[in-house]
Amino acid sequence: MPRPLTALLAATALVLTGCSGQLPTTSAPRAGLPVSQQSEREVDRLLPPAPPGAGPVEIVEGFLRASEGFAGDDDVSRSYLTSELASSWVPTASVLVYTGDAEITLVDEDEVSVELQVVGRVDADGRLTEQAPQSLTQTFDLTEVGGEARISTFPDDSGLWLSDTAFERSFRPTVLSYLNTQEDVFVPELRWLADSEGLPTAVTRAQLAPLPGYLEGAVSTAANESVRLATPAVPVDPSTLVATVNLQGATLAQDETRADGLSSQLAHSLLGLTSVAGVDVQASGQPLRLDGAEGPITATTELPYSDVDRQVSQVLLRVGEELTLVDPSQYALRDLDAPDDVDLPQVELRWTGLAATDGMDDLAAVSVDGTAFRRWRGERVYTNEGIGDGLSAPAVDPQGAFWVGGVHRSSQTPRVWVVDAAQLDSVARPVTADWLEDEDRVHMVSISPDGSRAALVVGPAQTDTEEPVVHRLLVSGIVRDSAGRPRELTAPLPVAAHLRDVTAAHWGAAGELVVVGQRQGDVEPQAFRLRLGGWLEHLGELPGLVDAVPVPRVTGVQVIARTQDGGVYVPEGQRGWQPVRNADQVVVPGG
Amino acid sequence: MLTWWRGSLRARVVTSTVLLGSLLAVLLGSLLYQQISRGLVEQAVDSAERDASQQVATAQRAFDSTDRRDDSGLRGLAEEQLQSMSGPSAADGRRALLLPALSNTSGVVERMSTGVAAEDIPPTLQEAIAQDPANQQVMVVPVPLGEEQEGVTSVVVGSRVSLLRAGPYDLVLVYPLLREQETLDLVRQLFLLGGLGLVALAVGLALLATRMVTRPVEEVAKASQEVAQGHLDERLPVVGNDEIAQLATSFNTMADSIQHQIRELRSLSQLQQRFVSDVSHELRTPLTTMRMAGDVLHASREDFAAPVARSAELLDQEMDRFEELLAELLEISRFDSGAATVERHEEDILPTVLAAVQGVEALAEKVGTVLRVHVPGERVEVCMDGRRVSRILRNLLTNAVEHGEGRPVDVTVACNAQVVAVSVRDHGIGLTEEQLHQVFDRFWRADPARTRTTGGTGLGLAIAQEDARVHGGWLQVGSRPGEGACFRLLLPRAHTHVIADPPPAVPSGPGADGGATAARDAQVPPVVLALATWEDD
Repeated sequence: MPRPLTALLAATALVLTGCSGQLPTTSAPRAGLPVSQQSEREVDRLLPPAPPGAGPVEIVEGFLRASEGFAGDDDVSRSYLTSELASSWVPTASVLVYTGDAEITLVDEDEVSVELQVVGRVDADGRLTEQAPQSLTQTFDLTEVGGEARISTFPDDSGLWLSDTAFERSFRPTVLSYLNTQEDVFVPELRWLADSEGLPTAVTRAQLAPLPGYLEGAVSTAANESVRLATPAVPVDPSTLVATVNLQGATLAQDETRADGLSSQLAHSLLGLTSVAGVDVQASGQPLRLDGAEGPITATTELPYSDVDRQVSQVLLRVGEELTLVDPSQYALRDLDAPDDVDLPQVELRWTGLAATDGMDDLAAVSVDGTAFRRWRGERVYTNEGIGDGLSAPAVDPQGAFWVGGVHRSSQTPRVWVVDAAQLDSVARPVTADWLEDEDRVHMVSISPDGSRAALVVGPAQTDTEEPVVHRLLVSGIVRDSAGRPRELTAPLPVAAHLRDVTAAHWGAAGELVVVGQRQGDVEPQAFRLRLGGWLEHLGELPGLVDAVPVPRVTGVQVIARTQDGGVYVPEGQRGWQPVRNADQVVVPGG
Repeated sequence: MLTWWRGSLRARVVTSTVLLGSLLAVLLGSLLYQQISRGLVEQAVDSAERDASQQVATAQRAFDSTDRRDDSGLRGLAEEQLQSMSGPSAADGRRALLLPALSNTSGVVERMSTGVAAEDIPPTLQEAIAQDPANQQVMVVPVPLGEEQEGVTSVVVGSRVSLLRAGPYDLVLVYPLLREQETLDLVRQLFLLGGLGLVALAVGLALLATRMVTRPVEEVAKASQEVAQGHLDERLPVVGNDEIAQLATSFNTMADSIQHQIRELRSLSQLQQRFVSDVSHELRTPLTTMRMAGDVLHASREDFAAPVARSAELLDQEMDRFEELLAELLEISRFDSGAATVERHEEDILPTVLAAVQGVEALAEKVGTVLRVHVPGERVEVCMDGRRVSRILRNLLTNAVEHGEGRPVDVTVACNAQVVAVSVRDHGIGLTEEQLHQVFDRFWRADPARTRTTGGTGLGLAIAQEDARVHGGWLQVGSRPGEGACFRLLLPRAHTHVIADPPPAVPSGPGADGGATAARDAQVPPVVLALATWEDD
């Protein structure tokens, strides 16, 4: 074969091996783009890890101190645990909050007991249950791991033990948002969640969880079992502070109402966090946009739902048979001139527990003996004596209906009735409350400003025994029918259960009550402010206190207290009270 | 193969065109193909890098923002994150792999992957990430995906992520280049089809081009052959004025010129023949008169004085020679003009041979030559013109006796069913190679200086050869100097056949005794017979 032809064939063969039909590959890695998102997190709590050679007591003590940093990156608290326990430890599964110092005792060489003054517990969902300070002994088992003592078993499968101050530092009260069934307003629910970078994730997770039992039917949530986080994390862009919630849900993209509701709930809850300035809700990677909205939700005003905004600018004072209109914004509750359209009636002394609607055009009261119910509407008066006995003071709901608790005459069982606003002579309709025991007596009813929940003060029927009567405060959801009429009260949530006795409770805001009751050591009733799900806040000593009513104002809820002797007090300073007027009753319209 | 290659211009042109065309197509195609595949991969790598950068940022943010720090929480997080990073369908889309960094021994989250096995990722990737964690590390390698055993070429992008207390991890994203491979396959198919089409086109073009060239060349060749065979009227059509037309014109001109020259020659030749014939005829009449006058002078020579009488004798002798010469010239001119007539009859050749021998016996006796005749025992019937055959033999015998140097002359008759051979062999001085070629030429004499005892004209052998030829036979000579010469007459026995090809050469005799040569002369040489196509038939 001629030489050029050979060379040509060789070249062709070389070329042909080049087009083998496969894409070209590389043999060694080469550097690509820079990895922009490096994990950059500062350690904000410098807690000591388990020191070498520490004894069991030091280990448990060190763990209790270091466990505060459970949510940090440099999670040193796990160094006190055996690796098995460290691997499975979920600190937020159950949190015990104690006050004072923990007393640590070496029971055995591998057992250490800790005595704590427990004041509250937080469950895995972040619900705080406050309790009266109570001593509790917790026993930790230890094991030697490589010559070092390590905690191997926690008592009662508990997760975390935090002093009240550490709890304040590492947990953040966070408001979840549910939806009112009647109006486009949010119903708040307070949770305590670990304050860390994972807070948005925890909030989202809690928000996507099913409704708490006492709210089932009373409020709604757009989340259900089919909706979940695509990734169990809600990342927040460090520069824009936009939290991205990537959801998975079969029908989410199709069901616009539900998508809007869910977006609103998530945005409202997440925007309540200081670390979040915007919320981008996505379904399977596609952004869920509210009507007319572009980009992430950055303000709650963009949402189709809003917070309950109830403000009262006038308060009624009852002195004898007279009703006076006063200005709660004025320090001394100065009198106001009654507007032309308001015609305040004379209320005879036999009527007590006066309640007024928002516009004060509808008033109601019960007779002193609790057998009759009277309504005033302008000049017209209607008395209903057939409802029942032992009627409680009426409460007004946002629809203008009056709620009364009492005892059914024939069966002597507790009842709660609703008198519709529509007609002056509307009949009192009983509301189903199966959970009320026969011997229970409803002493007080108050309806939340959004009309979705009722606070009830329930106590036992009057007995002849000398034992002191104990009243409980319960919060129950109101289930309404399609026309918005109350139908049922859900199985209630006991609130402020550590109060020895509750005499009065009024809703001040959508998530806040003003309660009059007695703690373990109190000799007489005290006024408290209670954020539902939060700690009870004492409003200061006021001897002879009988009632405290919240007045929702622009600046917050102001409390007006009334004493046995008819003194009307307003708060002064942190915990002081200042007498300003005298009255037999302070009536907040609409409350 | 080589003969095939050399045998056809068309085959050569088409094969070369196809080979070169295919080579060019393959070279160009593979170059383009490589460019395309490289471009596809580069594009895919580019988009993979960008996507991976985004994915890793998302993953890192997700890892940083989890609310669970326990092992199962982290594991779940990593798992879900990996799940969310994987493509929507199993068939394509990216695959994700989370591997503990080489330095990470915490073991909190074990390695996990979606749709790709950790073993299929080259270990060099993790080493590269360990060395340069601030950048992505990119490779393009075949990665087996799912149940497919064969690796799918994929872009593999590895990046460092930090998974809280679990420590550093390498997040490897695998982007199978299925679509690019499909595109490449399509391109290859198109290239293949295009290449085949191109080659087919090249073949077609080559065929067309060679046809355009070779067809006229073939016509020229055919015409040349015709001309060579004597069809001088063959001409080529001239179309247009291209090279082919020029060739045709040249050919036609050449053919014209040849034809013209041949015609000229032929007419010249005819002129010459007529001239010879005319001269011979014209000379006859005065010669007859001169003859009669000569005869008278010769008859009355005794009445003249001795010198005059001698002159009359010489005149008579020369008159004989002149007559003979004239007769032979006329005979030759008859042959040349094709006017020679042959009257063949079936007769025995032996009496003719013997008569011829007898005719030269007197001359032989004069020079002391012995004539030895070898004939077969039976009759040898040959369809021949006895006069002509007799003339041939007489001529041959006279020559043999004249040049035999007094040595014996062998006359041998041999025959088979088709052919009869008459050999006349002398043992004289023989002929040289050059003389052998000239022996049948007209007016040629072996030795011009030789005394003309018998008065040969130099036309005898030419006439003898023509006589043999008109019988469809051959007159050949074989000789070597000093060994004598042998003239052999071969005649077909039937007038229906001619001896087509030249018969084998005549064997030269070894010596005066002639034993072996006589035996050889008694053999009829093998000849090729053909059916006669006499013009008068």
